[in-house]
Amino acid sequence: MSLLQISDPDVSKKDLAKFVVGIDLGTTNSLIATTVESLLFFEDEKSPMIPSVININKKGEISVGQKALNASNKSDNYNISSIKRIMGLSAADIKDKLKNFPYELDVNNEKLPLIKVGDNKLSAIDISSKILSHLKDLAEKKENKILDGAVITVPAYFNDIQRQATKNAAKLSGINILRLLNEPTAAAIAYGLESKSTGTFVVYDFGGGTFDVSVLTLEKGIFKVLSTDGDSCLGGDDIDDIICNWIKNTYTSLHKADYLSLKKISCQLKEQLSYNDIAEVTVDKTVISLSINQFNKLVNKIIDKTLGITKNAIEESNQLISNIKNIILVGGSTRIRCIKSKLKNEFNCSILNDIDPDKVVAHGAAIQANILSGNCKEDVLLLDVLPLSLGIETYGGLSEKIIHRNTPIPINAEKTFTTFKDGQSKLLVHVIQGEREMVEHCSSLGEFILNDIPSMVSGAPRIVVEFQVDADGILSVTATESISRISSSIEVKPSYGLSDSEITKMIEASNSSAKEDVFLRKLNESRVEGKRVIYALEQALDRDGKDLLNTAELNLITTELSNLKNNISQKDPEKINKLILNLENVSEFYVERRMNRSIKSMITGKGIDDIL
Amino acid sequence: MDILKKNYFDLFGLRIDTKIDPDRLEKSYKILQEQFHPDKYASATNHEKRIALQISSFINDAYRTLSDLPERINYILKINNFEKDESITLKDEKFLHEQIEYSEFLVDIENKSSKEISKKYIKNSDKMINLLVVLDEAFIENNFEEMWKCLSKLRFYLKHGKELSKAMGDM
Repeated sequence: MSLLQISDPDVSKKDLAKFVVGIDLGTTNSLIATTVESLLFFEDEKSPMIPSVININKKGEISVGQKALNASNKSDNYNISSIKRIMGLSAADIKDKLKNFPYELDVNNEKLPLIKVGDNKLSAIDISSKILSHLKDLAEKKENKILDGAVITVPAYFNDIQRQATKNAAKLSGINILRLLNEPTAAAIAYGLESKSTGTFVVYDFGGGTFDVSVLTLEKGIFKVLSTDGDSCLGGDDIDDIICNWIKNTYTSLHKADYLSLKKISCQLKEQLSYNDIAEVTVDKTVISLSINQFNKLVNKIIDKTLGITKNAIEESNQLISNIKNIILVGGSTRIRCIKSKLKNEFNCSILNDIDPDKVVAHGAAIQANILSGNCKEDVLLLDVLPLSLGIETYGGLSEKIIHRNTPIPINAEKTFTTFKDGQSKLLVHVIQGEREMVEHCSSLGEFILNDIPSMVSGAPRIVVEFQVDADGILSVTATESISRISSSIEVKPSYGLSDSEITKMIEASNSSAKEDVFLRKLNESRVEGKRVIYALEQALDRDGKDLLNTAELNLITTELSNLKNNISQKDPEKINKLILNLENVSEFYVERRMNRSIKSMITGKGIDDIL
Repeated sequence: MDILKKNYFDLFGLRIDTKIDPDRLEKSYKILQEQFHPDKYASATNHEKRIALQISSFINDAYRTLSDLPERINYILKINNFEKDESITLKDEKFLHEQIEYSEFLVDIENKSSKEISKKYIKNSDKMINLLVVLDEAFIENNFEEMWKCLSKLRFYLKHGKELSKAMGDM
């Protein structure tokens, strides 16, 4: 019999806690926070608002955050900001949606547009991963600990490609992602847990580049999103653009000023107007002055657009406006004063903004990270929804919806396909996301080729394709031929972004300077996973191993368990992975037994009637 | 997994019926998700995670189906093995006339007074109420053919009710 490791009694509980953070990867600024002890924001040059900016100098050296912002005044280097706006977009999307896009694009790469920076070419994923690495470094240096995991927030209205791009950026930066969390939902957690509010709420999240609105109900421990709507290309940046144009048209001396310096002036004017009735900025002896009334007129159209989207979201939630308790304001752009009065007028309900609208998303994400890591036993459940319908292309370029928007996730759906020709062995399925009827107006997620369909007369094969959306809102697809029971293989061709193998290659390439690094990274990943599996299984065995397993079964599992434990400190990731797989295989039936038992005790045993 | 074979009504401890108690559905739904949502298995083994994802998806699908009246009726038909090809449409002359009348009304809805629209809306709601009575009778008599006919009409009335109420809201 193997000797179980006993934890050192001197190790305090604090040291056992996992180091996990919440990250708000924003358009203008990013924040990283932890609540492992108490709420703490990690700072970059004494500010928790970390600019989502990277700078590349003549030598090709890259700086990120505050340093990059400081370096941006020098003329011989490149600065890239607001990269979130093009996450997951194709070159055509960028042209279509962002008229003032200030960077030069390399459009040769259809799948993943690259920004030309001197001799470098960088994708939005590359740039985001550099920002994430910077955030990770700041937190790890401050705490002097290795980061165990992070919850990263995304706009609720982000589609599958944009979510996948964010996940890939995190992978490239070496961050273990616990969960992608929708920004308005994160804000609701912070409000729900800090102020113990209950009832139906609207979260109005107007950030630097995205606008999101979610309608949700909060009750003790359960946060349920009823509906969500938004525009992933509408934010403070668009307001800046309007002011830029106004400056150009009003002050002839600035007619030819470059975009970035005009944008800076616009930001300053906008910020002043959140406190004062008149704003003034002096540039080269020209005094630019903008009154609140003029400003309100300029932004009126954009604000009205957000109100329209908010109305839609409420309608979709099937709640009466009179049922809504509060509108929670999130995001820096909600400092625009007329938003508050317009919302009050339109929806006749009170406005909540007592948690800093810039920090509330990272705060909520940090709470969720702490819960998911098992650090705290707080009973919180988040029930979120799919923001945009998923469908497939049918005859004539029309979209057939398979999972409708605002369906609670995780969710799965099946669709049966058949062949048109005798002996047809391949079938192409085009998966899309969006509300519009024509495929060309939706986002293309990818094409799946079903291979090896057994040879039959046309219409005979029954190929069942299963669409599974996980809790992060990300889709995966599997297919099987149901008559021959042969599982058809699927080839996935993502329309944009990166495939899994490309990501792996990129991770390896980024570390290729030292082979040792790649090895150590793999070893560390295997060990972390191994420890997780050991921990999960030991906990389970401790609780009900004796009840659910006979001696032989128990021996089988404990043998493989100690096998893994004895080898986890070896410097052999392949071996550790193999032992993890062995352990998972021999314990599969036990896990199923456990799940079935909890179902039985809930439903059939005492029955749900007794619980209610 | 046993749970994945349950019918949706059983899953939530509800009687198979065209009418359900929404509060009860909501309560059972939350109790089940508190147990099986993947977030509750964040530090569990991969196999447990996979099963949790499956079960949680199943619960969500069941909840979505039973929350919506037409979907619920459709599901009752399905568990009674009454399924029609999607291409088959209802053939009912009286109903066809109603459909034509509606589309004619909608064509120049901008020129209609709010009184006309709300009158139409009330008429639509009355038809729906009558339909639900027929539907319940059909359900009690296990007359699935009649239930299927009601379902086609119901979908139509619901859609137009929405359109009319939107038109009233815009005024």
